[in-house]
Amino acid sequence: MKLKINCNFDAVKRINTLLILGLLLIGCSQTSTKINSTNSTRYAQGFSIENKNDHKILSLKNTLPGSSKIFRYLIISEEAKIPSTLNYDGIIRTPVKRIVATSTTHLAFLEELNATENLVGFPQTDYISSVQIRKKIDAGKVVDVGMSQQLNVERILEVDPDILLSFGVDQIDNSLKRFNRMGIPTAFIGEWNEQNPLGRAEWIKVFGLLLDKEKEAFEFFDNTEKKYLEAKKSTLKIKSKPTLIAGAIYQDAWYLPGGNSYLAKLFEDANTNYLWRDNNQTGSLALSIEVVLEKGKDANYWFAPGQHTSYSILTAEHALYSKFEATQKRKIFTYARSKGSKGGIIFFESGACHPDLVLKDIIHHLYPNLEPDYIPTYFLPLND
Amino acid sequence: MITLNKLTTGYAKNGVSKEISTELQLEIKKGSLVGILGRNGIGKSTLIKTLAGFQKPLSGNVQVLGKTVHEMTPQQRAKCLSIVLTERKFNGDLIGKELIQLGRQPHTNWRGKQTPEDREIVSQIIKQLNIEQLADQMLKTMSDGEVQKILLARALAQQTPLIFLDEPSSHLDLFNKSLLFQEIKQIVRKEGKTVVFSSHYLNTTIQICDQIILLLNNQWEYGSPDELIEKGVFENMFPKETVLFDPKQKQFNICI
Amino acid sequence: MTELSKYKGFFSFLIGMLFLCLVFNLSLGSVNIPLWEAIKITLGYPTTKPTFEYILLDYRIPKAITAMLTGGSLGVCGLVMQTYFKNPLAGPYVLGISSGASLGVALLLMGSSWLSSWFVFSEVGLRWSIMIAATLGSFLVFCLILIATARLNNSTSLLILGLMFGSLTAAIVNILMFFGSKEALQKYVFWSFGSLGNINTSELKILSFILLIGLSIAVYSIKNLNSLLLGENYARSLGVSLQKNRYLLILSSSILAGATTAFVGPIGFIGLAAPHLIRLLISSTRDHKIVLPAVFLGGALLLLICDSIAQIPGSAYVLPINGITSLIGAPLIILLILRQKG
Repeated sequence: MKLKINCNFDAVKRINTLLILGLLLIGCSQTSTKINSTNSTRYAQGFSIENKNDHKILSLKNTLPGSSKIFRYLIISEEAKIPSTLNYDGIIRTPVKRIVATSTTHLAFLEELNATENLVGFPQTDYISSVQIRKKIDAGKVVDVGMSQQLNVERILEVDPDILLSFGVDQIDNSLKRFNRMGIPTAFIGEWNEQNPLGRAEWIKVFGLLLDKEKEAFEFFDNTEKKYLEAKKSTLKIKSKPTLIAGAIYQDAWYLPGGNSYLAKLFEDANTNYLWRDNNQTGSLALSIEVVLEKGKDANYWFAPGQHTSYSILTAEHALYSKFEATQKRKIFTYARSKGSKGGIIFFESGACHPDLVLKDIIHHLYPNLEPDYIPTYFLPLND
Repeated sequence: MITLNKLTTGYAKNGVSKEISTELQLEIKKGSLVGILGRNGIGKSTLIKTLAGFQKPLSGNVQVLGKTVHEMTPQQRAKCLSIVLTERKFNGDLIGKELIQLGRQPHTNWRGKQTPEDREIVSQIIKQLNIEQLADQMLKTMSDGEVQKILLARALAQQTPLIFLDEPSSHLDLFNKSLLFQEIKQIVRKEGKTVVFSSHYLNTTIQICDQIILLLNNQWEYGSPDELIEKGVFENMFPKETVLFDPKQKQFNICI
Repeated sequence: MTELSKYKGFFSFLIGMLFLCLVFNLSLGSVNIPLWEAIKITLGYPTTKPTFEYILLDYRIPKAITAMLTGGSLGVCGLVMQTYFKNPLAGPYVLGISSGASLGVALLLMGSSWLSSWFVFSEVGLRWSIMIAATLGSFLVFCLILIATARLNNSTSLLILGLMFGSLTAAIVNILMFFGSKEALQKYVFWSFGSLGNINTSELKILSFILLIGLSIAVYSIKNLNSLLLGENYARSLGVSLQKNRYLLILSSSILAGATTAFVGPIGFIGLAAPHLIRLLISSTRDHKIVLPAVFLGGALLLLICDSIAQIPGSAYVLPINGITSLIGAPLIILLILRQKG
């Protein structure tokens, strides 16, 4: 097993812990809520890239809510020497050639950068929709490394990756330490934590950095941004804003996206009146069904009704569903109908990477006359 | 009234059987008071339970009024015999009168509705046993003797020609014990019921019973107290250093 | 045993309370519907706001009826179990039926590959899939209990067996939870909170019919239950066929516990508490002819009140019904028992 990490890492860290804490405290005011985004990010708040002479520093924000910890990684080429001045939470040699990813969103980024060959391991591969990667899976080239919450350490070691792409949340410090000790740097890809759709797509720059394809990544993002903003602009000529509801009932409550959430931002950029836009939550709300009926009964459109794919099942699930105007006028659109060959939802895989397409899908369903020939990728109307 | 045909009581499990009493053959006449005597562990309870249909005999059978007890349905048995067991753990919330009324269950319809006649029968029995004050009380407020009376009242309410009692006086003091046996004797005399009970109170049993079933090791004796005394059966029951039987007084005395 | 008419006053009180709570339950909710509008709608008159009509007729009324039926059935089931096992701690789930249902649902949500359960869902909908899975799970445990009953002679063994089946299925569920995805786990946990508002009118008819069967068997067994007050030996001497009675009571209990769990999820506490509540209120009789209907009304009342509280009238948020049942019920019982001792 090749050890790419400086073996003194832990010892150095112990000695310099106080120093680092002190630095973090001082720098806390600047980095407490978001990473300084002057360097290379325009929308994303979860990462930043600093360019130095012969190396780069990638900072990733802890995805644990309420935490202000930032993980810093040294990004350095194969041959270069490691500057010994500061501590890092990981040292990554670029370009990374063997990647273990843990979320299908990572794969979409890889695919955009033509780097699917670099994928060597993934937990529960059935979720993957990408045709290219499915071919690799069928050829036995992608190792199943257990479950995303409980990665199989042995399998990962066997696969000998250059990097482990985690999505973080609870076990962050544990898995970081554990895999670091074994010589596998772990990066917490937090694109899912971004509420701005362009912020999510911007994480391709992180992948570009890791794969040594920064130019392609930046180009891709600039292009995506341009198309997104164009689409957004195209809705401004619409005079009256349509009203929108989202979410679905489970058990005794209606779960819908908060006013500051990713979906809500998309609805906003599509120039609609999402009926809960005034709410300031970034997560999902659990509201009383009565309240949602009262407020949203006459909404023009209904997007993302949970897992529902057909009107017949929808109306059978709950007596109140059929009372909504959106149901009666057949104006419900879902991401649950677009699936990969093994049933994985495509929106969850490549939606983050293509916010322009997501927005265009929504706009198309809202105003079909704007671009009658557009074929939506993610959001489709409900079946009968 | 009751016929024991080569009755062998005991337990059988997994093909292994343990005999308690072997090949009892006797007849109990209607309207008699019969006591089952024997030392502790000899099988008195087992015999009562077998006679009442709770346990299957290992061989032989018990017939009551010509019908085999173990071939009767529970409903038929319920109209034929009633019991008072040694169980004492009841829900303390039960009301005395309600418990006695349960004795009427075999005679009521599927809903368990109590007719005025049922109610009258229960009232009579309560008066007869002098337990008016217990009728509305909960079991948990009653003494052992009072609970025993309620249970006896219940058995009487069932109005069966035959009543079995398993150790009916074991928790009672002398006074209550005497009251109880007085009641039982009255029931036999006045109503012509047949009562069979087991007891380890030898002297009292000899004193009041018409017939006695005596269970000994691998043996049994049956007859009136006088018959058994003449036979000299009681003399050999215990080691003479500990207990001596006085035939004239018809009682057992401790050797001090 | 005792005359029903003697307790007319008590039953009138219970029914009156039930009616009152029903009115409250229907008029209180997250959306404020004025009382006179509510009355108009229930009487069939048209109103100004169709939303009120939808909420009342398609949501609150079915929910209230579900609450009353479920609460009453669980109460009766608990009573039957408490009498049969002569154990005041017994409840409707003591035979493990509800644990079986939980196992079925856990297998559906977390056991099979997440994606194949998508397939089931897309054909019949998630809610029906859960109901079917829960029914199959309860049925499985029911069959095991039946087989066990054929070999057992006394009620204590059956009680222990039921508890063991419950533990076993709970253990399997724990393992499934360990391997489940976050979403599946959340779905399972939310199902276990119970939900009264998820049933539409036609499903309510089915549930009522099934519960009626279970309740009828319990009513038919009232005489035997009375005989059982003295234990199995005395019951047998009073003419009860113990084995036949055992089967009937298990059948009744399984139908009541199984159907309620399948349709609304596991609702805790009501089945245990309603019999105690009624017994504390009427201490002058233990005749099941009085106690059983009283427990049905008491259980219906309890769950209806809990549902009203869970709706947090006026707020946009709702609480899970399972949390409320114990939160409200336990202090109530404690209060009554402490009063009793004095």
